[in-house]
Amino acid sequence: MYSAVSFEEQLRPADPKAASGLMAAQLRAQDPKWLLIEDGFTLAREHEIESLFAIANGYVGNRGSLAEGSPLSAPATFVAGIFRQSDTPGAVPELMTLPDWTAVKISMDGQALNIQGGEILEHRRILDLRRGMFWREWRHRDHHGRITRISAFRLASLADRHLLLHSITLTAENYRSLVQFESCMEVPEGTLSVLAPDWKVRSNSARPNVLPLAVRAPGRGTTVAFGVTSQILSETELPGKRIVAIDQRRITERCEIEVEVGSACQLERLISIFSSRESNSPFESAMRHLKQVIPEGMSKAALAHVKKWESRWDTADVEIQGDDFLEQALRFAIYHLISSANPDDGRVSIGARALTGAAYKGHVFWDTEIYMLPFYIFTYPLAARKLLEYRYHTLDAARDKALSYGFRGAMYPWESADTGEEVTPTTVIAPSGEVLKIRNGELEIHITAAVAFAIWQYWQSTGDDEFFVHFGAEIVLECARFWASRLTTEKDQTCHIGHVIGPDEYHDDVDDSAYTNLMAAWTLRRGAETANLLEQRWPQRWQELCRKLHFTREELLRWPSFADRMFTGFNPDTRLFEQFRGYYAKEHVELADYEPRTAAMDVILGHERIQHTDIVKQADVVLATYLLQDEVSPDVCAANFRYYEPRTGHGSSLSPSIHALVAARIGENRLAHNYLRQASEIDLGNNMGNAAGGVHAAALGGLWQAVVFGFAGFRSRKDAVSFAPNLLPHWKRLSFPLEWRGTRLRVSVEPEAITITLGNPAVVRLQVEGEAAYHAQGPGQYISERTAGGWKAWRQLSR
Amino acid sequence: MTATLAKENAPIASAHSSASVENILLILDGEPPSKAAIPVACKLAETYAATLHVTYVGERRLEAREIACNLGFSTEQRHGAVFDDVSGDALGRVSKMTAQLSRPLIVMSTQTGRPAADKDRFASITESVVATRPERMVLLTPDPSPQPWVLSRILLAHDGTPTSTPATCPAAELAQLSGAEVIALHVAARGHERPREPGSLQAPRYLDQPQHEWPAWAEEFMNRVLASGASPTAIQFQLAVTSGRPGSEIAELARERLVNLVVMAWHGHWDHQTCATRVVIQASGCPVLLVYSAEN
Repeated sequence: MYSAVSFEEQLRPADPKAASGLMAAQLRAQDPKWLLIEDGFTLAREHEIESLFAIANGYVGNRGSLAEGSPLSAPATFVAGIFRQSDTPGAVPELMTLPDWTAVKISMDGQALNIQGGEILEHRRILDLRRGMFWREWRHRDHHGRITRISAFRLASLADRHLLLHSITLTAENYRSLVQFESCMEVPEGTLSVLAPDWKVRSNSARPNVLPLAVRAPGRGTTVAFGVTSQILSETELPGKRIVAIDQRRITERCEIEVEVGSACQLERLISIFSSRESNSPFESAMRHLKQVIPEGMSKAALAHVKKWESRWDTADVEIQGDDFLEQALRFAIYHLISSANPDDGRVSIGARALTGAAYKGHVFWDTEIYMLPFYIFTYPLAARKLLEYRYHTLDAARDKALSYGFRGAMYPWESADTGEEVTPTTVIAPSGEVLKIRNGELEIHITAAVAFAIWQYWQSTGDDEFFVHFGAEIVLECARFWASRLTTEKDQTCHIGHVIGPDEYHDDVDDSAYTNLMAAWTLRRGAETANLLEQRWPQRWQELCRKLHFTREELLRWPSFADRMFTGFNPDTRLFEQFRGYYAKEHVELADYEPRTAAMDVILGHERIQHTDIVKQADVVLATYLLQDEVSPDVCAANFRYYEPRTGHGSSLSPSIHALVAARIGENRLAHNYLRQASEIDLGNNMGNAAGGVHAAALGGLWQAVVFGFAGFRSRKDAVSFAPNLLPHWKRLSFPLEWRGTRLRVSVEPEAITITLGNPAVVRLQVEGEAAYHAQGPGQYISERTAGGWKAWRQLSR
Repeated sequence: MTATLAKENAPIASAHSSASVENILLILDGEPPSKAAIPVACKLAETYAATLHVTYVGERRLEAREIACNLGFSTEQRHGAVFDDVSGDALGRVSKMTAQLSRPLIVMSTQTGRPAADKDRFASITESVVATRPERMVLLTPDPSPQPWVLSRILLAHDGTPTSTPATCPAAELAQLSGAEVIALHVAARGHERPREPGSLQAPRYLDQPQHEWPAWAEEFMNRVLASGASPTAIQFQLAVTSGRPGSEIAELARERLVNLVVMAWHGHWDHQTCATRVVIQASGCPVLLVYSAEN
């Protein structure tokens, strides 16, 4: 055992080619369409930049902070599922910020290199979307006239999710100096550290020592262990030195080397991270892991990561010929979505800001199921399945919540963390001084329908019976049971759901929210359908569930009946759904009168006042008509869009993408374009400041949906895939891959034709707007061409 | 909602005009509306431990002794004050003094000089001095029933742009020197486009979940407000957000919260009749410290 140890080790001269070789072109994307670039340095934007340039692999995420720090740097590392819980009354669990492994201060002869001192000759941060790497290029003249060039990258390996790499290459352009790289990883204040068992310094080792550090999540007890090692390489083959001080709470490493005029040296850092969630001995796992990686070198690990990213892009990239901005915005969205999911862990889901920031405390909302999940279903079904398994593993907590409110079945929490319990804060003080009571945890119950909806969508689109039978069906049944217990039946036998908050959160505690009731009715029907399916196709499982959940035939028969009698506020004359009972009586506010505005409408009018108006926060009825597209006719969808769109204030980042999607489907091209642009700027607009606490993961998923489901008009039907494209006039081609029931499709939409390439030897029924389905046999290529009034039937182009 | 200045975000030195004031330049024309600036200038001189310079710009020719004795200064107020040379044109003398004095702060009433015909304009000397865009100046509208001026509450008006941040340091510095509290006010503007200046942070356009968004936004706003400006110690900033027209909202909050001094960055816009800065000066009911900051 150790308490505090200091030691020094000579780093053996490394092959000088290794340094330059690592920085070779194979690690650098050159195509600017794949690069998000931030030139210069604006201190005030640091938090935004850190979020946008975050790296992650679904297991671990890290913000793109400056290695040497700045007055506004907020470096943070998060591991999915690692939450801390303060013992302050009313506190809710929050995603834990772990020790920062990226901090490296550089000095030359003891003079620190500092971006705010001296002169920045060049400074550029680059997110290589294609390769999942964060690069920094910096050329700086210090007060002594020394010009230093830095080229650095960081990555969270997609090939080996426990591995983090950090490389800094320094070129002393016009001076010779002793260069020092000093890094300090420490356990945050208020957090317990954990002593590594059996760790000791190995002297005379051929390789640098691997150093241990671990923390214990307050209130949870989860241990997260790091293994850290550093190596220094030099073009001049001079050996470097590593001076280490380590105790239970921090690791301080100083790597130093003499650098000649015009020559370069490179610091390589490898970090391994394991938690007690997936390892019984996270220390040993981290140390053993690094010992396996080190002999193979950083290059190999980095290349494996790059290869993995390439393969993920093969199944996910969206190309938009004719609109470089939107294409890049899509790639930015997809990059963060790929970074957020872990196909190896079914006990975590994606928080509102994924692993890119501390805002929203890592809490999981309906965002995952309604906005993000479709991307995974059609590009990475395994990741989609794992996200849904999270809802299975938290099903008991949802059952407990239902019971605590006097209901049956599963009532999913509006916000959840690691345990699946409700973790929505109950109050907040707005900067106006107004104390807002937060009732979403109690009233925003439509999330329960969202979970069931997502399971059904996943199952229908993937054909993953194994998941449905063993996980999904039980959830759908329990969600249906919840709605059956939550609704009330009035004397006229109509069913109602009172006291809820719909997606339009400007109006809380409303009765008969159309969105909620429609989704509840849908869930009740799917619940009944699930019971029938299980009974017929998987009777053994059905028997198991009947024994466990005590279903009776009477109960199951009531569900479709409730659904049929559900009050939806639909008026067949106007073809409109009233958003909730009494909505039409609200004071009409002409939103155009408030434009241009820089703030949300509830900020302008105040929380109290806005409830009395007809201003809708975000897609609500409009969202329902899209999600329930198999049950709502296109003219009803269009009528509701045209009614509610002018009344929607888009006070939520979830709103623009759905409006773009529906507008594209109903041919409102100008609106579709505007909303798509708005959706793409939620994080990328450089004067919004929205992204400081992390990227808006749901908005990014919504952007993908807007393009694929809206502009390409893709629909996954019960037995076919269909398309009804409506490209923007300046788009020459929109192409993207899809995976549907195990078959890979490559979709290419041009103004005059849709081409589908089937990758595997499977039969897929293809449909295009207004045409009968066509049995396409893969592999092969099929085309449908536009006619004056629609589309021609599909024909085969090639095999 | 309050945000505390984090120590690591509190650089002591700043390259901008945030250093202490060493000289207060009080401009008087001898008329009662102009003399309303005397207690404010004296109090600020005391607060900053600065030298009070009195520059007389009235039409009547007065000797220094007459200025000292006849313009309403008490014996205490006269102590340590310098009554400047009265030769030459008024604006020239002000310019000369501003250039000569180290770290000056101009203090004057809006009604110094010949009254303007247009009620939205200030008196002639005030308008002329403002037109020179001094780095820092305090303007105040004469109060018909003046009260003794104390400094216990400061309102820092901030539009979320980095070029407004230079006002942070003077506000924090005065708060530290006087023990005053600081309210940082952001007005969610209507009828304005989002500023194009990089690093700007406005009231949130998307407020997905207020229970998370407001604390995060408030922290980010205060981080930005504080990080770029120097502040000597951990001053408690209370954050407030209102919506509407910035000038009138700032003035209204200043009156409601009995603010003694509004501090705001000023980008040199002055001519427009609806200029927010003019509205604040005219309607806030307290002196306004303008910190000149060129637009980005």
